[in-house]
Amino acid sequence: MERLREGDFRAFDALFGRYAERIHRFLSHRVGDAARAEDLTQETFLSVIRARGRYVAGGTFRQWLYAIAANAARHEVRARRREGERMREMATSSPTSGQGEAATVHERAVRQALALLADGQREVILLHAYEGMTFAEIAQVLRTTAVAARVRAHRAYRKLRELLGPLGEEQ
Amino acid sequence: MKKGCARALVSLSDPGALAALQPHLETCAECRAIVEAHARLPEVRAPSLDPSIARRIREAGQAELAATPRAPPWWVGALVLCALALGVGLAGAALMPRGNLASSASQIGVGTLLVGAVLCGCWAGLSPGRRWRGLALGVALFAAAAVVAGGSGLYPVWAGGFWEAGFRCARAVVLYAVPSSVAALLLLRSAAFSPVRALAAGLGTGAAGALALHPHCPIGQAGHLTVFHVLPWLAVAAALLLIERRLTPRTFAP
Repeated sequence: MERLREGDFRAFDALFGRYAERIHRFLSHRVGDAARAEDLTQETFLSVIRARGRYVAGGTFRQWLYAIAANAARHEVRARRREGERMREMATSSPTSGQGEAATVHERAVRQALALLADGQREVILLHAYEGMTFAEIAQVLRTTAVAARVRAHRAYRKLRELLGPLGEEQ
Repeated sequence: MKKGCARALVSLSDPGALAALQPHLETCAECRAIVEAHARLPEVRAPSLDPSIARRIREAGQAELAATPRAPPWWVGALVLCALALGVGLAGAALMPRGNLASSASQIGVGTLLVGAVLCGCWAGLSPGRRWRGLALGVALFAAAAVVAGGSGLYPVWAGGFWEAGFRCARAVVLYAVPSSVAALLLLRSAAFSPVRALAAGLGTGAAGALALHPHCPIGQAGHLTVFHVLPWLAVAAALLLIERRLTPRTFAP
């Protein structure tokens, strides 16, 4: 990050190579739209470059990067809500894996259940289950406390299990 | 959340730790539900980033770096905003005729608090850290209370009627807050929208207006000071928050 701050493209390239797939996966799950996730991935990495002066030395780059991605996704969700678009409907109907019809019944059920969670709950689950973050790390990304992140995750998993019951039976 | 439940939650990705929690899971339906939900999540396949898109992002990154090879640290913008807000506030205080009938000590005390509110608010508004925000809100609150409490209590007849004189004061607060508020809006776009940060910046730039007006206004009654000095200051902060919320930021950095 120090090298990137000095304008070294190779430093950006190395960070991009290490995190691009993970950020794209996080954003795909988060916004439920593969095409928008690609645009947001670009926005996230351009934000890293534009805001590199805001990176506080000694911080963890990974958490900072995910915080940027989470903010970008939140902005996108808000913008769509303003346009009157229903994110949940889109998330349930649009395949994020790009494998559309090939998605299994179980996969569709889980995706649908995830889309039905509140935004804040989905965020915590994605960071915890898919990105393998601890609650302390999630707290840094979401600018909250570890206890609050853990409570949110607890509620989110419980809600997810409730949703997966009926959705699983419907398929 | 019980102790065992908290342990189950942090052990979800660790099969060994989960196995050790088996006795708890057998008796706790809630934790079993959480473990089951977590186990279903890998069923959603991870989409991969198209190589052509990855190339496009790399190229865009390269172009962006070429356009801005050096990135100034965030505090440069914060210093600029502090200097602008304080400069406008002090210039207003110096240029407008002095009319405040309160004691010099009271005026200096309130003025010092307003300077603190300007600096803390502008700094906290642009700082990526969170520790300044509470201080900025606290100092602004304290300074606002001091503006009201530090008035002379007098209402000279020559100052004009309640609404007429009040409107002049409110207009002065807003006008002296405008330059730094515009600068704050431009600078705040370098980060993702944060209501607390926008509010802190608005309280800082609004305090510049209150600072400019404070030595000038001869009316020292609490009602006038509350309605026409403090409320316009808060209105500036609220307006900055609402406008900032509608703007698209240049970056999504915290």
